[in-house]
Amino acid sequence: MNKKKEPLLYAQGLKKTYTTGTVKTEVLKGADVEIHAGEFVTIMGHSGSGKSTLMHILGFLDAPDEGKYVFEGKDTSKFDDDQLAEIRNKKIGFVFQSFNLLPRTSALDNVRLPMIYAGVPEKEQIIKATKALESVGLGHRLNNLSNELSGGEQQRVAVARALVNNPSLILADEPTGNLDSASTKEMMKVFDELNKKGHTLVIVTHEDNVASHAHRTIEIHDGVCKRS
Amino acid sequence: MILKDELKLVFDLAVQGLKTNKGRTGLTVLGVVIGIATIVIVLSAGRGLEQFVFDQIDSFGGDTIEVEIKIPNVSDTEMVSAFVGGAEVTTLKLEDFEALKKLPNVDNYYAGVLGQFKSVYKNKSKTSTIFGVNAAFIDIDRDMKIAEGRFYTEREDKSQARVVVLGTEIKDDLFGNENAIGKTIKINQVSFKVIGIAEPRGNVFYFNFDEMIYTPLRTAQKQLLGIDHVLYGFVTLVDTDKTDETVQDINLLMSQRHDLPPNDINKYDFRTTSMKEAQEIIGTITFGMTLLVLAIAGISLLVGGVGIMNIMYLSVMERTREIGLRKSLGATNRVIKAQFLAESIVITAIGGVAGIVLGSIIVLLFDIGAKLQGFDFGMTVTLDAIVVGFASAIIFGILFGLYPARKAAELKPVDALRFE
Repeated sequence: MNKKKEPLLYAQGLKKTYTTGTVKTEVLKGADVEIHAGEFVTIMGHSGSGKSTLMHILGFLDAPDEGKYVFEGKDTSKFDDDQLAEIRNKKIGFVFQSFNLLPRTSALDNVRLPMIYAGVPEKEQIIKATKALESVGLGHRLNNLSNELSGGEQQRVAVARALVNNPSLILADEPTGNLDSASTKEMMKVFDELNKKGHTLVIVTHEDNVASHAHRTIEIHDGVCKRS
Repeated sequence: MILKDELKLVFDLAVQGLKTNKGRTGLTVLGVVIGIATIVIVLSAGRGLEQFVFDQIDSFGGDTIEVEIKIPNVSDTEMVSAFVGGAEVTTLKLEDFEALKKLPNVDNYYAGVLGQFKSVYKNKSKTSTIFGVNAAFIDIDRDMKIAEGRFYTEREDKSQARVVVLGTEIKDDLFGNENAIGKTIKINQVSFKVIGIAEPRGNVFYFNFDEMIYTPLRTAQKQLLGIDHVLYGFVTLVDTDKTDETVQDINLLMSQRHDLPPNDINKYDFRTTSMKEAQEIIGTITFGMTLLVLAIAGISLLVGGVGIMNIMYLSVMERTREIGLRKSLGATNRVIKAQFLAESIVITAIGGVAGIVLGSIIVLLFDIGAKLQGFDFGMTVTLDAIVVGFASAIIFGILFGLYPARKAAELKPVDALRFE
């Protein structure tokens, strides 16, 4: 890695505390992260270590209480709701552990959703969604409803949805957590290919075999990051 | 983004959202349908009833003044119980009406008496109302028409001819399919010749004209009832613009004839009512009735509205994770809000249209049913019922869709995604 090049994103001293009733839990206690374009990084840690919270902050789903987060050279702390929505739409692609597809909706329509919010014309939506689904090996499943697909297939639809707006960063939160080992292998093949094509990937996982595909792993322990 | 594209986007999202949740959408729509149908029915019924009452009064003659017997110095309710108890006022005479006819604005009159008697033809008998009225009745009462034969004449009245005109029901009861004209029936043991059959008329104020037997006034007075007074009469006017003056003229003349102080209406043994006055009173009553009915409609709408709000609320709760997902994919707060708002407008618009259709069908069926029972309500679905029904549907859609939609839009994406 060329460390002198401007990173895609970097965060310093991220802190986050959750309050449940009167109990305060400090989840992040000053985490530092730096990700460069084209990297394939995994974030690992025990459950409760703050790895999901870190990913939510990196993906603009949540905001830190303290700390600096610079994305593509811009300090993000002053962004308003609409700017955040636009970043989530154009710059970030999410893959969730529980797939999060719209029920009773076709694979194609699920993949079209981010483009609908981006205001892409309908014809272009269909062409791009079809290509994205083909790239994850689901060219034959375009019109199947989400609930007619297997777990592995559903997650691949989710990956297609994540990459369809050509984001700067794809974030995946335990993407193989609900998959069997065969589906996991296929999923990792898809991620490897995406990275080879130049996509920046950050995957939260606690599985070593998933982490072994990455260039490097960020270990998060007790709310603080350790670089490996 | 151009506004038109955004509208299309929101509408597409809403339709997709509703399709995704078909079952719940159906239930919500049903709630709206029932609410709106109620409004349409209630409004149409109120309007129909008002028109019905007006028509009924009009059928007695819109340009007439009624003069009827009254017990002096008692309230109306006391008077009703006195009449039920058998009290009689015998001071109103045919001669009074003859005198009234000479007033400048009075054109004509008819006066009547009523009695209940058993009529017999061969082995068939039937107790019914005998209406003794003079011959001018056929000219004055617009809804009285002869289907067969003829009505009696002034001469027959003066000579106390024993002739009758039968209502269609009493004709069927006594004669069946047999021709009745020229046949003789016995009323209270007295023989009468049937000279005519009236056209069916139905109920007017629960007064069934079709089971009535019409006979000349003097015949009824002398040969059946043994009296020389009348119960009431109607006078017709030359100029209906002078109704109020004519009422005063009648009161003056009648009080003179009956030796009563002319200015003390309480002491009168008669009562004068113009049909104009009656229409005004009925108008006030039906207005009150319409208000009551609207209050009921309002309550049903409110109940329906709370139902809509509840379901919209539940829908947002249930779809919290979906909202989180949509936000994670780049939906702005405004688009989320607009989608939920559009969903609730689509639901209420569909429900509104279906409610108007259902309400109209029920109104139509009710009207047909009433006609079969002999009541011509002439109940129709009025334009204002449709407009009010549809407008309230949309207003409730916006009102009860807005709050949950805003709540959904303001959720933090991560909280929405974590929602269980």
